[in-house]
Amino acid sequence: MKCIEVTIWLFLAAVVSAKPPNMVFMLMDDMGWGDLGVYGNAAKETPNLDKMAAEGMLLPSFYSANPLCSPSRAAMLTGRLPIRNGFYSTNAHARNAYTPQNIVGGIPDSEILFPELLLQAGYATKIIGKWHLGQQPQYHPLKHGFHEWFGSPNCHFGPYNDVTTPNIPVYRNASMAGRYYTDFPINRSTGESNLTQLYIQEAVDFIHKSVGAGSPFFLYWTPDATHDPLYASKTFLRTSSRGLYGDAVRELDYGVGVILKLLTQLGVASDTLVIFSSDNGGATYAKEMGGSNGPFLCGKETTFEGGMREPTIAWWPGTVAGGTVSHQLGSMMDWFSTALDLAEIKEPDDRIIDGMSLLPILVNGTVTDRPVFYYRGDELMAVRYQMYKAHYWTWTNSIDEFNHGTDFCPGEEIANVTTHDQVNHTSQPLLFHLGRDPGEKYLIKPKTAEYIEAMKLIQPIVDEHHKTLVKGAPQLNYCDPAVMNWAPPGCEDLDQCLPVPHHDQTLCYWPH
Amino acid sequence: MCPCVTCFYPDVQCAPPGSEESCNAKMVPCPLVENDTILQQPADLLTLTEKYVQAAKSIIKTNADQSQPFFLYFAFQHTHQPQFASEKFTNSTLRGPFGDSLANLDWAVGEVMSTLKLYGLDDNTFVFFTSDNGPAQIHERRGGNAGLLRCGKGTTWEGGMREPAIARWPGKIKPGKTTELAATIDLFPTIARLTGAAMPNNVTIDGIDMSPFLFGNGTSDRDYYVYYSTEPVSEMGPAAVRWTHYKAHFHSKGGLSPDVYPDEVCRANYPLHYYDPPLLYDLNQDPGEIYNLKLDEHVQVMENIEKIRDYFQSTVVFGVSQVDSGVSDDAELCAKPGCSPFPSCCTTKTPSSHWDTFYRPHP
Repeated sequence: MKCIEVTIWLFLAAVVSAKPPNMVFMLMDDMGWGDLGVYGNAAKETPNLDKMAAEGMLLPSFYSANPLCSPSRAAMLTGRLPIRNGFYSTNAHARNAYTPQNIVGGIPDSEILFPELLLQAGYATKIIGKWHLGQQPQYHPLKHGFHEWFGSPNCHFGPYNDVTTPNIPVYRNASMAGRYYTDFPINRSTGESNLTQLYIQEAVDFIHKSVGAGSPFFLYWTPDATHDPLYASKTFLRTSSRGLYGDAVRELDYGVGVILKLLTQLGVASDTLVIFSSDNGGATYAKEMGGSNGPFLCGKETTFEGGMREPTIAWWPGTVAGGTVSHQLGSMMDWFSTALDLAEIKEPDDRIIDGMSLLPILVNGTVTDRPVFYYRGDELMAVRYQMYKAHYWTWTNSIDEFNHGTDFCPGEEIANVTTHDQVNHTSQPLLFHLGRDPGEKYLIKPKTAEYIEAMKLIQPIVDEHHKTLVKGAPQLNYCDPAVMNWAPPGCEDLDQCLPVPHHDQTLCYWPH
Repeated sequence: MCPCVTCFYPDVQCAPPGSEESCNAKMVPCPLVENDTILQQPADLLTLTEKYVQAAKSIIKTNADQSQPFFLYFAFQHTHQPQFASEKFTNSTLRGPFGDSLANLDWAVGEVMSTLKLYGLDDNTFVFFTSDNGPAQIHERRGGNAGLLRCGKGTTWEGGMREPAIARWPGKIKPGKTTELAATIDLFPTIARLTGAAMPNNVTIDGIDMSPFLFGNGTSDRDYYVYYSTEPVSEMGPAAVRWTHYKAHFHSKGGLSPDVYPDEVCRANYPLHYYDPPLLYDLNQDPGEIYNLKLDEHVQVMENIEKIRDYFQSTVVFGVSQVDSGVSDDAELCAKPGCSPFPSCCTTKTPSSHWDTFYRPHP
């Protein structure tokens, strides 16, 4: 065994010794585990992703750090749970908070994002697409490890009237390049927009430029066409049997194909780790306009499997064996540690990092036991260890919201599990076996030997987690209309500065 | 299927006392039959799949040697309850007994495919893989999984009748996928076309030849599918009708899903419901049959569906029910006819020497 380990480490050393590899992390928005052909979607409309999986590694047990976009993305980039990095709210118990236009907070300067460290190691870094780590300039990508940015601090909600609410800006680097709907059109009646095409072209240009310059590069490609309101370019509209959502998926799949093909053509495929995943589960509340979470319970906003299990693929020809599957329990926060490992950068030792390097899994398939923590806002809702998942708290949304048509679990109602009250199960957590019961339908009875044995493993993990947890200061408590994107940097050049209203800072309202 | 004694290596009982699995001791021990002979009773489940594979290999070899075209219908007991697996596949998966059973089946498929290659028949064999009905959710964690489809076995929802299907024939079938509408009953006319056999003209054949899209670049000639319940009644007509990607439900009842199943319409205790107006779903955008469409926005769709429904209701002549003809001890296969105490006396000596001589593995 020792001998094998030595061999592996020698090999890893060889992998990273010359020039550190390039990294392309593709993070989708609200795409569900069940949306890819390779993950069992009945439409089978993702030939490029299916091919990527055939040439790489499929990771079916991979999780986002949170069931909502902003905390999920902040956790990925910091390698730390939102409860540690501050991307949560204490305004009410167990609420999903994010960064809408009027959010005051954002990613704190005290947090270390892995692209900041990659900069020091000589990487060229770029984010294309949605940032969502804060609206105000001090929180933007160029202040937190990226050389370049093309995209937006927010989702593409709108159109707004620029009077009560400004339209959301699209940035090129530190300055705005225009606004959604006015300068970057999305036709809300047809669903047509060429944004994904722009994002693909940006990726192509950046890869060309970086390969030409000879420096290692990190591309964070995070288009948002599968987030409501959905869009696709004219070429892809009405091409999917699934409707507009499927059109958006098909165009993103096409984009993945373009990027992988380019890496191959430029001869850098064997020097580039490409990861595909999504920020949280499919938005089941969006009905036919949302993604599919396959066999998993509920979706986005919840801590059931549908909310946090992500369609993940790793691709690195020559290093990651093609057609492999790893059941490693993975977390998006692992990309932090993996990126540092690949770039031979020491992990920060002044803080807890929740990620672990996936290099041993990617290279050698070595699986390590580790827990997965399912947080919703300030509450640890559930914990998975090995095949068992214990729910300490359950909640979908309030019965009032549900009765008004917001359903996070359409067609699924499990007594005492998909609860419309926040139910505390701490004295006797609800336990599921995710191998035999991936849909979290059949509770393991508390008096059984199986339950007792599983909880003997899980409870100490939970106790230890609570005991050692140092919560970060919550960043998502306050909202203020004055911080909205009235006058973003660069608005003067475009003559697009709007009058800024008076400050009116209040506690944000997070309904679920 | 009981009593099958041992389901998992080395001695895990199929229905251990106190378990959720049930064993009907009024049935004969499950027999393993070859032609008219009972080879084993009870069948040794730990070696059953291997025996099936050996039999398949033997059939393929014999026919290959004689250049004789052959039809092999490999109808697995996997993954039906009670699940079982050989030594190699016991505790081999994350999914427990169901997963182990499935892995054992998957291995057998691989063995058949490599045997075809071995005898050079790969390019001249049409292989079709599918399943008889949706997952038996009543077995909860030991049941199968219908993925995103609604309900399972015993229902006319998609989870009850939409099946995993793979067709393979190198050179004749283009690798990839098709989303053309098809059904297991379509194998009959497809095989008739392939073999040049005449279709019977004295009975109604419901199948539609799949050749246009399986072996060519065409589309399916089937644009509808009719769903009958497990206990059909002539006057009630079809439970549901699919036309293109739309499906309307006229009535449904629960199937084989437990009381704890999250969707109450699937549960075994869910009584017969009539839907008037019918429930309409778009199976492309909503494969889970969750979001009922507004009928006034789909008038033409409903007209087409009603036409198909009316046609079936007015023309289908129900065959005499074979299920209603009752049960009899005499119908059960017994290795020692007339023995007592019946049925537990119906056993063979194990191991069967006949088996060992006849189906010796080929080198």
